[in-house]
Amino acid sequence: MAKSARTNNVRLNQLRAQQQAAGRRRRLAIAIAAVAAILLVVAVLIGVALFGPKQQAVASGPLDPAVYTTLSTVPVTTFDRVGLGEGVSNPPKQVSAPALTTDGKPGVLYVGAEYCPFCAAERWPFVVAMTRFGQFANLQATASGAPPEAYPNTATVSFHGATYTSQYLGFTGIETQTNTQQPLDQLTGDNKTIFDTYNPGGSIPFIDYGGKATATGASVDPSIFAGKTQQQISDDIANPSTTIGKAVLGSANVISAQLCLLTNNQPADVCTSPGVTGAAATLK
Amino acid sequence: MTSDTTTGRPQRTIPGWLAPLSLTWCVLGLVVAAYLTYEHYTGSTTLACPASGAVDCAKVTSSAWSSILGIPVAPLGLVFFAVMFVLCLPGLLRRRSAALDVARLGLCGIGLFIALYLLWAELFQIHAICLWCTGVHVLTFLLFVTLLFGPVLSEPES
Repeated sequence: MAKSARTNNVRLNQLRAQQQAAGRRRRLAIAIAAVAAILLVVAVLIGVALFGPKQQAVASGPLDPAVYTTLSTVPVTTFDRVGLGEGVSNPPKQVSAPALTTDGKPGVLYVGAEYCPFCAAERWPFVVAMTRFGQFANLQATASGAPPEAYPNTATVSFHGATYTSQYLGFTGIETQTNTQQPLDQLTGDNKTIFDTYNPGGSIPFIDYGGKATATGASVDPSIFAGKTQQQISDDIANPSTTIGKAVLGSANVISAQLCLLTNNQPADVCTSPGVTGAAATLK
Repeated sequence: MTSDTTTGRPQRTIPGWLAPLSLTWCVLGLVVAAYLTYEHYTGSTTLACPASGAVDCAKVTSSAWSSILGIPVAPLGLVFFAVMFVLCLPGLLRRRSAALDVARLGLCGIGLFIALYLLWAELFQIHAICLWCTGVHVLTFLLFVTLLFGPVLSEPES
């Protein structure tokens, strides 16, 4: 009887050991499978990034009127709250050039290209500032070039085919190439002379403010717009607590201050606002 | 089953490498995450990283993807490795507690999931790789693997 009990115990222990070993093998297999799955996901991500289909440039089309309304109706109090903002650099530099006029009014010349990510970034504060002095029509929605372009597919607007109406300012917007680098607007005549004379490096974006100041490059970091749509960007611009709002409205105040120098400080509600007068100090 | 002679809590035998290895990953992760956190709050002006197109740390750390639900990922990583450090202390690793095991592996799994999400963002949204961030991702993966195999290779209950 005792021998039988001992035999049963031995068998029970053997069975328990076998079960434990089997359980351990199963857990080990699951762990190995989990690690293999993670490595597979990483390999697929890297493989698709390296060898997968390349991103196409975003097609251009009319800008959503709601986006334009948001951009053009930012309250003065919001501009004033942001002031100089954050992440704003590269203010217009004062120059002594022949006065630039358009239709008898001080003129603003913008030269850029749709593929250019720095143009994509700069158009946001530029449009916001310009709509304090007049109104655009037919602005297009587009995005900067696809990879390997830096800051690819940055959502923005395009001045190709757009018009600007203002009692204070004239505007000429030239987009020399599409976001697939196909020819678009021609840079000719006086505009080309200005571009070549005051921007010998040929940098874009290039902006001439009435012959009194020029700006090249972006005043805000293109990366802040990464992954966002025009709608999301315009919503952020209207919100002074966002990174985009602080940068774009801060830069728009600086550009507004420059434009006020062309319009004899008209309209007064813009040019005497604390945000603009404070930004005027950055103009040199 | 053994028990802690001071607390009486049930203990288990863990592989000798589990605690030192997991703590090593946590400490290295803490150091890198602390550096990225410092750079995050100082504008990434002194970030030691090449900016050669495919590799561009500042482009990644200053992108819209550097925050999750408004929380910057750099300090999030710092908190993650600090909590994991505590959970990987030898006393807690030896404690036979299903809740602790689930918390440890679950939290690390969430960290790994976020690392994969950020890798996706780097490859397909930002189009740049941040070497320091990749270091954090690799350390998170190594910690996950260590914690996954540790309990599996622990001595069975006697």
